[in-house]
Amino acid sequence: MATINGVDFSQVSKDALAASKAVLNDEKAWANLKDIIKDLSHGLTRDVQLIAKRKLSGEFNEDDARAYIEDQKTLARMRIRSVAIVGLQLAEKIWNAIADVFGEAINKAIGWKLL
Amino acid sequence: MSIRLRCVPSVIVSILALFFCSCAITIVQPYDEKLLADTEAIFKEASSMIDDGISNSPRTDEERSGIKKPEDHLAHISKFQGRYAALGTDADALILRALSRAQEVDKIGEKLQGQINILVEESLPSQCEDIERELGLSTTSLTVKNYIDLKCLFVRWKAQHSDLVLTKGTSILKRTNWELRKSTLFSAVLAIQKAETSKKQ
Repeated sequence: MATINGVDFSQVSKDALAASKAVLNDEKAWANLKDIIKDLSHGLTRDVQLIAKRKLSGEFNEDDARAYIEDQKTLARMRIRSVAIVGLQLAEKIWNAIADVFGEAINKAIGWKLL
Repeated sequence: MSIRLRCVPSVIVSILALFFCSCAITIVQPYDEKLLADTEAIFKEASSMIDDGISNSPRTDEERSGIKKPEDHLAHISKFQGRYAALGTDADALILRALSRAQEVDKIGEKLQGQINILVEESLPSQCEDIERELGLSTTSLTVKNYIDLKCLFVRWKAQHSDLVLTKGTSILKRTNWELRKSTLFSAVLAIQKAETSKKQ
C-alpha cells in the first residue's frame, strides 16, 4: 500500500484493525449481552417450573397462562431491542476507533487538518 | 419486507459517505445516569406493589370465589388504582427523559434503529400502540421504545386486574399472577439496565 508524506497506509490499516479488535475485546459489553441472554433462559425456566407446579395445585389456569404470555411478548420486544442497543454500541465504538486512526493519518498525509 | 429492502440502499449510501469522511458517529443515544437511577426507582415502586399483591391475593380460583365482598378485599383493583396511576405517570417521565437525549443520534443511527424497530414490530406487534399516539411520539430510538414497552406492561397489568374473565368476575388476581409479574418486571428492568450501562465509558 502507498506511503504518502511519510504516512504508511499499510500500517494505518493494521492500526485500524488493532483498534477495532480492542473494542471487540470490551469485556463489559459482552458481559452485558451474556446477562440479557442468561436471564432469558433462567427466567423462562423459573417461570415454567412455577407454572407447572401451580397448575397441578389448581393455582393457575388457562386464562392466567394467556395473561402471562401477553407479558412475555412485551418482554421479548424489550430484550431484542436491548441486545440490539449493545450491538449498535459496539458497532459505534468500532467505527469511531477506525475513524480516529484514518482521520489522523489522512490529516498527516495531506498536511491539513480536514478531519 | 419491501420496506426493509427499499431502505437498504440509503443505509449503504450513508455508511459509504461516513467512510469517505472518516467522521465519528453516534449510533445510539448516550449514557444517562439519571435515566438509570429513575429506572431503579420505578422498579422499586412496582416491586412494592407486586409484593402487596402477593401477600394479599388468594391462591386458588376456589379461594377467590369464596370472597363474599370482592370490592372490599385488599387485593381488589380499587385498592391498586392509585399505584397503577403513579406507575403510569412515572413511566411517562422516563419516556420524556429518554426522549430528551434521542436527538443526539446521527442520521445513520436513526436509520439503523428504525430498521430494527420494523423487525420488532413485524415479529412481535405492540400491544399498546395508543401510548405513542397519545404522547404524540414519532421516534426511532430503541431506548425510548423500551420505556414505552415498560409503560405498556403497567397499562396491561391494570387491564388484566380489571378483566372480569381473568379474575372470574371479582377484579382480584391470584398470587401466582403477581409472582409471575415480579419475574417479568425483573427481566424487563434488567434488559433495559444492561443495554444502557453498556454505553457507560
